[in-house]
Amino acid sequence: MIRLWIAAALFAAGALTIVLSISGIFRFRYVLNRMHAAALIDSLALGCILAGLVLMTWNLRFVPKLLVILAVQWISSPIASHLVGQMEVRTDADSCHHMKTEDQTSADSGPSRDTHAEPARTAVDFSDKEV
Amino acid sequence: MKSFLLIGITVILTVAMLFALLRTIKGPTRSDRLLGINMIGSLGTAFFAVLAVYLEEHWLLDVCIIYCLISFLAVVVLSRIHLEQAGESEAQR
Repeated sequence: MIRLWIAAALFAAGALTIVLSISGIFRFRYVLNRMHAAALIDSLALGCILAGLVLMTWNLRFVPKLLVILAVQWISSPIASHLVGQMEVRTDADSCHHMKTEDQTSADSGPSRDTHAEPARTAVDFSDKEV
Repeated sequence: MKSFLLIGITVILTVAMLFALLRTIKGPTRSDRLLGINMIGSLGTAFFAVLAVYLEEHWLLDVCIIYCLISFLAVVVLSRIHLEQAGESEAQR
């Protein structure tokens, strides 16, 4: 019975994480910020729900497969996030404006500007030119 | 209590999937849509696992593993296709 209560607590934590993540993908304005909210479901919510299911079944037919699912998801989710981020940075020419911090906008010159080998190859130009 | 818990988490997962679908439809850029597809895949994985425990059919967990891998493959292929298209349009300019 105590396993069922722990599973209920884990399910509640997973449901709370899902609600936070869903509110995050509608409140943030930029896709690289939304990825942060969406990654909560991949890692924490799925971990809580599958841990609750492991505690709830406690059966040798279910538990190893649930752990395999968790391992597959935790390995593949960072790769998928990396691909989405790479796609956004390479194809959106305006993405450097979203990634500027206050230091970069106030500083007028940087020593790293001359080190770009091929500035025209990617869509992102990290220089501070006002267009 | 067990079936109550499982049905409750299933309802929450379904509502979250609907909101992720809304993000996929509304998304201004293609990256937003791909992010929504990725979220739907993760929520579907959790949904299959809960369904397998609710029905007490352990073979549904095999389906769940395959679903997880296929949704990851979909994200990889769609992002590669979009990157190749962007590279071609840059080369034509």
